[in-house]
This record gives sequence, C-alpha cells and structure tokens, in this order.
Amino acid sequence: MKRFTRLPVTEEAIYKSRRLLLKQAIACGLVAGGLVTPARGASKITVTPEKRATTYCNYYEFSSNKQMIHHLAKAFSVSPWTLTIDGEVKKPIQVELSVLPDDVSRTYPMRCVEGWTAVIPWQGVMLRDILSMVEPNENAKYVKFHSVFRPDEMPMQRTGNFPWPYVEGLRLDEAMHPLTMLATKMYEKPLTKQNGAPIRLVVPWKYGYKSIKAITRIELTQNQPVGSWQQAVPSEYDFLANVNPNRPHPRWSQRRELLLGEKRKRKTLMYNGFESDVAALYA
Amino acid sequence: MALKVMSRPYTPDNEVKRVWYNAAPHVSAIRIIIYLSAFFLTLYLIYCFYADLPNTYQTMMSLSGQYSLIYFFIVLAITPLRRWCVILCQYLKARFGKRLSDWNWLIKLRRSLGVVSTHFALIHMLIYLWLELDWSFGEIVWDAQQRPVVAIGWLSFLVLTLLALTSPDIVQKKLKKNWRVLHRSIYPLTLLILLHYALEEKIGESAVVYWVVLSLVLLLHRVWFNWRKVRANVYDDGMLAKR
Repeated sequence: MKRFTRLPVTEEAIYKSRRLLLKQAIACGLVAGGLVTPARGASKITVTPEKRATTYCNYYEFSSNKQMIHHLAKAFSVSPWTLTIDGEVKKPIQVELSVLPDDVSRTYPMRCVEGWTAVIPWQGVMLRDILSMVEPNENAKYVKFHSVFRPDEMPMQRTGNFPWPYVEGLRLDEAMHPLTMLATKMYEKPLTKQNGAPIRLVVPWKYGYKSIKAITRIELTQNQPVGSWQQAVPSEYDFLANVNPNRPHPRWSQRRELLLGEKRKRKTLMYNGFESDVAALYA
Repeated sequence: MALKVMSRPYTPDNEVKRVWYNAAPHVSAIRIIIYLSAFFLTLYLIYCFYADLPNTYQTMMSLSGQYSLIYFFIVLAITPLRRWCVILCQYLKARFGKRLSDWNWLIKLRRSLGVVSTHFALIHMLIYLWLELDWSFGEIVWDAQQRPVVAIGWLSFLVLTLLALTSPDIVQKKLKKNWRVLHRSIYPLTLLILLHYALEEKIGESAVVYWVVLSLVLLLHRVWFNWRKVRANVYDDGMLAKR
C-alpha cells in the first residue's frame, strides 16, 4: 500500500513569486526575517476536479447538506456588490469589485474542520495589498470580516440556531501574511455562488470555517473579534483555528483528512503543510 | 363475491390459515426476507465504496450506522408491537389475532433482526478502522480517549456483539436464566447508541431527535406496562406479554 506525504500543491512559478514576495516582506519588516519558503514543487496530490469542488461545499447559510448547497445558492444575487473596508484605518474605502486585481494565483488545500479537503486553484489578491491601501492605524490589532444577512435568499438564516450574519476574524499579522488572500476566482473562472461569490477569504493554514464567504465588510478592530462558530460553540471552535493533527475536535479526529473523491483518509499535516511559512507567527 | 366469502362454511381448522394477516406459518420465509434485505443493503454499501462519491467515508459511515439503528429499533419494537396488534385486532373485531399468543411468531424473528443489526454495526466499525484509521492500531486507543463519541461507539459495539454471540439457540439454552438477564442490557444499550448518535451530530442537525422520541415511546411503554401490572395487580389472562 502506498503511503503519501501530503504536500500542498504549488506550481513552481508561484512559489518562486512567493519567495520574491517574502523577500520583499522581510525587507519591509512585515515578516520576521529568516522565514524560508520550502520548495513545494513536487506535487503528490492532484487538484480536486472543478465539478466536485463546486458541488460539495460547506455553506451553512444555505444548508447543512453539502450536496444541496449548489442548488440553493442559485437564488443568491451577488451583483451589485460593494466591499467596505473601515474601522481602525486612516483611509476607509468602498471597493468596486470589478477594479480588484486577480493576478495572484495559488493552489491551496482547503481543509475543512469536518475532516475533508479540496485542493483548489484560487485567483485573487493578497489581503495585505488591500489592507495597505487603507493604511491601518496604530490601534488596529485584528481584522474582522462580515458576511451578508439575507434571510429571504439564504434559508438557514431564517432559523435562529446560529449567530447570523457570519463573522470571522484574523490577527493583523495573520491577515498581513503573504499566504492569506482574497479570492474572486477559482479554476480561472469567477467564483460560483456556492463557493463564496463574489469575494471570499482564503487562509490555507487554518480550518475552512475561517475562510469566510461573500464578504461585505472588512473591519479593522482593536479587540479580538468573536467568530460565528466560536460564538455558537465556544468549547469546540477557537479563534486561531490552525490546522493541528494533535488537537482533536470532539467530533472529528484531526489526525486525518479525506481528499474529496478518495476512499482512504490521509494524514493531516501541521498548519495544513504550511508549517515552515507560518509557525513563526505562533512561536 | 363478498357474499360468497361470508357464506363459506366455518371450520376451526382453516380459520387461522385463511386470514391474510396471519403470518405465523411463514416465519421461516419472513426470516429469509430479513436476511435478504440485509444482503441487498450490504451490496448497496459495497456499491457505494466503488461509486464515484465526493466523500465515500462519510456516506458509508452514515449509511451503515443508520441501517444498524433501524434493525435495532425493530428489535426494540417487537414486544410493544405484539401488545398493540392484540389491541388493534380486538378493536377491529378481527377474525384472528385477538390473543397475545397469536403474535408469538414475532418473537422468533427478534434475535435474527438483532444479528442483522450487529452485522451493520460490524461494517460501521470496519469502515472506521479501515478508511479513517488505515488499520493503524496505535491510534485506536488515542482516538477513543480523545473523542467521547468514539469511546461510546466502541462500548456499544462490544455490548451488541456480546448479545449477538449469545443469540443462537444452543447458547441461549446453556445460559438458562442468565440469558434473559444478559439480554436486558439492550435497554442501557439503546441509551448508549442514542448518545453516540447525538454526539456525532453537529449544531443545526436534529435527526437524532426522531430516534429519541421513538425510543421513549418504546421504552416508556415497557415501564408503564410493568408499573400497571404491579400497581393494579392485574390478573394475567394471557394478555400480558412477559417477553
């Protein structure tokens, strides 16, 4: 039986550009020096087929049935859409999504807290590029993301068993990390509604519930925001939510994960395989 | 047509046989149908493994667990079902089935159904060991320590297996009176299984509620029945099912 070591898939050109970005980041003092991006060119895992990634999703606003969501999401209207960035910033702005660049392309494994993974090529923009546009002031310590509240389009928002609208948060240094991105496309096509159209967060070393979908507002805050899952079940979901195979969830052993379409589970890696990139953030 | 049936001469010998809902003579056939149903459900599980599903592990765990649960609850339902069938037949003034002993054949199916339930629990457990743990036995203990849902799953599987292994006639006869004491552990086992299901569900899912309501009906029926019997000192006219 063949055993795999799971390595995040990143094409050569991308990790080289990432190295360049990291060098720039180190030069700017944004990232601690000495951070080395390991060569991850050797891809042992394949990209999840597009049809699978768009028909098996977790989007609690619509349903808890993962294969039902792409049907229900058809009723969701995504245009017009404005993204507001405000809070502890010097220049609060409203972004027109069409002007956002989508030149950053990354293939990340999206690790759901429920023990499955989809490997998806994302296109979008690094969050730090957006945040540096609005110039966070000295009070800004955290970034809080707000999703939409539209009970007439999102069936589960009509029930009161979850703190709607969906909210998530990152530390400012996590948000500034070059791996963190805002995606507007996947598989070189505009995001589908069930995958978080028109704009979503992608944080590859954290569980999927941190990567909030359909963002309407990015708020920089002084105090640590409380994520929706953290608020709903504080004993099971924490703020950091870093992928950690040694820290089990009461329902899902985080030791292993199922790559969508495969039969057997694979071993989960620390920080979802990005340990050398992000471990310094939590040292 | 109806008049013809009504005017058929009465013979005590063929009365029982003619009523369509008297399944007593067909117990062996019904048992074969039960085993066949389990066989086809098992085939479907095997199909699920080879089918191109997004999350094979989740699908197979969920299906095998639910199959086991369904057969388990049929086992639990048999005693109340016998009593309710008698009440129903008396109410309808039916030609057959007004006595408890008319429904004794249901008891004969109970152990077979329990074995089928154990069969699916075994599949449930093997899928967990194979697809989740990849046969790494070092992780079995770790996982059971970390996750209460797994620990309770193991405990209920052990109890269920013990009941299945003591199900054959030979074992039943050897254990004599102890057999019934041992097999009363099905009641705490019900609670364990429901707890296992409840711990597995996440916020927003509530399928376990229906099973809890069903088990309350089936278990409280027994409590109420025994309480009534003791309290009112009811004369046993053959209508009190002791089993």
